[in-house]
Amino acid sequence: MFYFRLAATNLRAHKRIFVPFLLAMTLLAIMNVIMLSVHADAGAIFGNNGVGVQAAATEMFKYGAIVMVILGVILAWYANGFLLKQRTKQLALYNVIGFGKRELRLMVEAELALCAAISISLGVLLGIAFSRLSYLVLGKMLGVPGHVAFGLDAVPLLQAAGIIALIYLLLVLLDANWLRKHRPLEMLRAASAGEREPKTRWLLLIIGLVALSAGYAAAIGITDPLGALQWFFIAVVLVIIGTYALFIAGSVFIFKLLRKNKRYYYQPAHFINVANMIHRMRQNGAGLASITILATMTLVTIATTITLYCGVPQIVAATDPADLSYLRATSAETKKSAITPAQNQAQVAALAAKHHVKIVKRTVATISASVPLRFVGNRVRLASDQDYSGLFGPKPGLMSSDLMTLAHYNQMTGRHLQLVKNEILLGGTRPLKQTTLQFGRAEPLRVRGTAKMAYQPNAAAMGNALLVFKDEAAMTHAVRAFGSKVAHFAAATLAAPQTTVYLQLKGTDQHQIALTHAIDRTKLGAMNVRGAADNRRTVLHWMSAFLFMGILLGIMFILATALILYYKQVSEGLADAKRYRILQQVGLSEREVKQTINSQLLTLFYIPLIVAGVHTAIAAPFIQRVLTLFQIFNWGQFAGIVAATLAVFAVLYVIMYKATAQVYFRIVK
Amino acid sequence: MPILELKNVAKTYHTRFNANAVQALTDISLSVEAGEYVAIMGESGSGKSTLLNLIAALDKPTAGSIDLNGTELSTIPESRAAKFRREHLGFVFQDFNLLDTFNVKDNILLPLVLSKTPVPAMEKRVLALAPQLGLADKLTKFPYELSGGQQQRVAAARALITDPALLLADEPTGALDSHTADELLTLFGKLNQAGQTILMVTHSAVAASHAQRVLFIRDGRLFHQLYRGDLSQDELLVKISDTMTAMLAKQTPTQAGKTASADAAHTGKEAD
Repeated sequence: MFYFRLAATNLRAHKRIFVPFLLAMTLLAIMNVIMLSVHADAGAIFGNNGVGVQAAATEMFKYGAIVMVILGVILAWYANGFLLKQRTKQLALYNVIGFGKRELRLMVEAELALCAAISISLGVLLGIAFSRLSYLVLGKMLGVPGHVAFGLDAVPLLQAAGIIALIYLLLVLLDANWLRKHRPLEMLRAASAGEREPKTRWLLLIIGLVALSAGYAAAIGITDPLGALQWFFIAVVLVIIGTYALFIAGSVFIFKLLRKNKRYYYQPAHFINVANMIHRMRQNGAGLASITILATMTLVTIATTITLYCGVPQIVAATDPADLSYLRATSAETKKSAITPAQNQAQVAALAAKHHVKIVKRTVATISASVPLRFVGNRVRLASDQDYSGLFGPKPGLMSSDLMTLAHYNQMTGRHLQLVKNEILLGGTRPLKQTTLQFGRAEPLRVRGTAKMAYQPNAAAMGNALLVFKDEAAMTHAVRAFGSKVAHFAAATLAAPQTTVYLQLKGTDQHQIALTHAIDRTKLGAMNVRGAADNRRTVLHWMSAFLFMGILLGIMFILATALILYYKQVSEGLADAKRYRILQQVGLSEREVKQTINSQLLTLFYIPLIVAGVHTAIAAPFIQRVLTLFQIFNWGQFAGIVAATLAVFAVLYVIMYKATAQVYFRIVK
Repeated sequence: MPILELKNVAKTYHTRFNANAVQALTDISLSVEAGEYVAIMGESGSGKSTLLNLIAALDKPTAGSIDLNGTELSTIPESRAAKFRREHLGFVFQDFNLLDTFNVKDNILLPLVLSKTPVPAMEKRVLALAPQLGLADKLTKFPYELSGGQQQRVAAARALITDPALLLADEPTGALDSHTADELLTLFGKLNQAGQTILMVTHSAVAASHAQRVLFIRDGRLFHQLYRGDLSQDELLVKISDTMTAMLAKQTPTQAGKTASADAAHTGKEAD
């Protein structure tokens, strides 16, 4: 009991370092409660999806929870180390007045036990409140009605409490080990002795340069989306290594270089800062690198998940250009099937009426083949793999092109157009202004007019084109011109055209989804039934889950950044207090001292923000390339989201910096 | 024309939790002539540090005036106080107060850099000054690589590099062993012979015995003063000890005068 009273006194006496620690641990508990609750309730939240989606979402939040725990351990470890370092003096004092190692250990354990009790109870209570709140937000994003109640589940609460308790147990062990290895009195003496000037660590410097350049080179150079996905984690690790190495070794190197330049160095503003920085970077390099990495992770996570969330229409449009589409047997094949096209149409119309969906427009397109083509000027060639992996995604002029005979086109549009030899119709979701088209080495074809697309132009980045040929022979001739490799394929596919029915619908998503399922279930000669609404719902749920997790992790990263910033300010302040007193005595006015401090803090704390911005800017094209795998090709949108995220984060960072700088100034004064 | 002149200086502190004012200094008047070497002696809490802070323009007196090198300190605005200190005063502290992030040369150059001296001029001065203080081969070393005596000499070099009108030393031998303390005091003596005005605050009788004149402060008042005259250092030391004993016994100066100070004042007059 004695130790608990003592511990309580200590917590109060050292508010400056214990309050942030408690705050961080409590927030850690809250975040774990939220993440574990979502994990536990993922089945209910994704209830109106398939079992597969539910399981996958549960799995995803499990990984989220694991990441959260790992981050928590690192953060707690760091905070605890800081706590010990700042309290060496106090521990030494207790040592002097007769506390042995055993007593010191008991005291520290009692303190941690108190902290654990506070942060776990507060964390669980607030965690319940915040997880309710986050369910509402998630429900809103998912389109799940807000009143869907999630019961108070004890399991995630107990899990979160257990995790935090285990983290505290780890801290107890770490502290016991620290006390066993150190004598507080000796530590005190060592701390007051002057520190050696750090040497330039050439090996680390070179490793940092190589790692960072390799990481950046990978981010810029690997333009193939699949390659980007594979390289992503390697590049991330390389950049992390590079950042740490350069912050630790590179900074000392640069400041030493500045010191060699006498005209720069011997100026009041630079003199004190450069010398200080050389010494500070040894202890601070790692901390600043951590802030940089955390900031970059926040930016990348939030920007990417927001882009995915905003990209839902693009993702859906890429696979489902029309509200509803299905393959139907072609007119020529109907003999085999029991259902005629007319019967099919009537039955679909009946089903639509039954499900309160209005068919606004119905288009039947019979397409001979669908090939990716690249339009360069008036030349057309078959798209190669390289065309998909440009520096900024697929190269311009890349179109997924449908080939159609004039007969089928007239059938689709109900017109009676005529084409002479060497004439075609050309249409696209993007304006195509060619007047002639040359396939491979074949003689150019004249573009007679614009072909009307079978469906509404969509938002997908890769355009769609429609090429209408006079007849099958003209089509075969054109395709053969691409080379012998294609000739073989052309003969096979061109002879077997496919008929797709595109429906433009009017009705709620719920009704459209029901209609899609009804058509799929009823035997009316429709195959491969796809509904945009159905797809949109699944995709939206996925992206909401991503965004939700991105935000949770983002909050966690920001929390970690704030904690490190705060602790840095406190330790810097304590280290600098004496330095500035001396400067004032040798003739630096208070204003000059303040200026010096400011410029030093600015460099120390804005460098991470700037570097994080650079990292993010370099990573952005890389991530965008990975995003093309999700059919998100909108570079402008992604750049905008990244810039907005960066701006918001910068404001947040400046606020965090200003708030923590107050602590610094109070200490230095 | 004295370099430093204090007239009826008083300093009162008001503590936050105590309505009673603390009278740190009462009616102090003294003057230091150019080329003088003055020691101020007193016990802890006697007010000697307050006095030094006032002279250094780090603090302002409650009453009275302080004239340093022709400038009344109270007329200097806060914003120019630092510059004034830099240009007219040199400081040597008990715990050296060197910056551990600078090497010896940069520590010495600090005041010059702050007053934006061109690099070649700085180099010239540090190269001229370092040998006088036995630091010629230590310029690239860092404070942690030096002994206490060497560190204090670096601090002295930092104080002297601006060619100050007055060198203020606050307990300069406090952190040194007797041998290094003696070396430093000898150095101060040489500097004084070369024309440097020195004002030293100390509670070490040995340190004070190196000065030409010793002032005693007790409870914020000037208690007594001794002139070296043509006394040897050891003889002065005996007189200082006697005065200290008298002061500690809480005798009034007149009572103490019967034993030691009468002689001292007498010899002092002769010296003038």
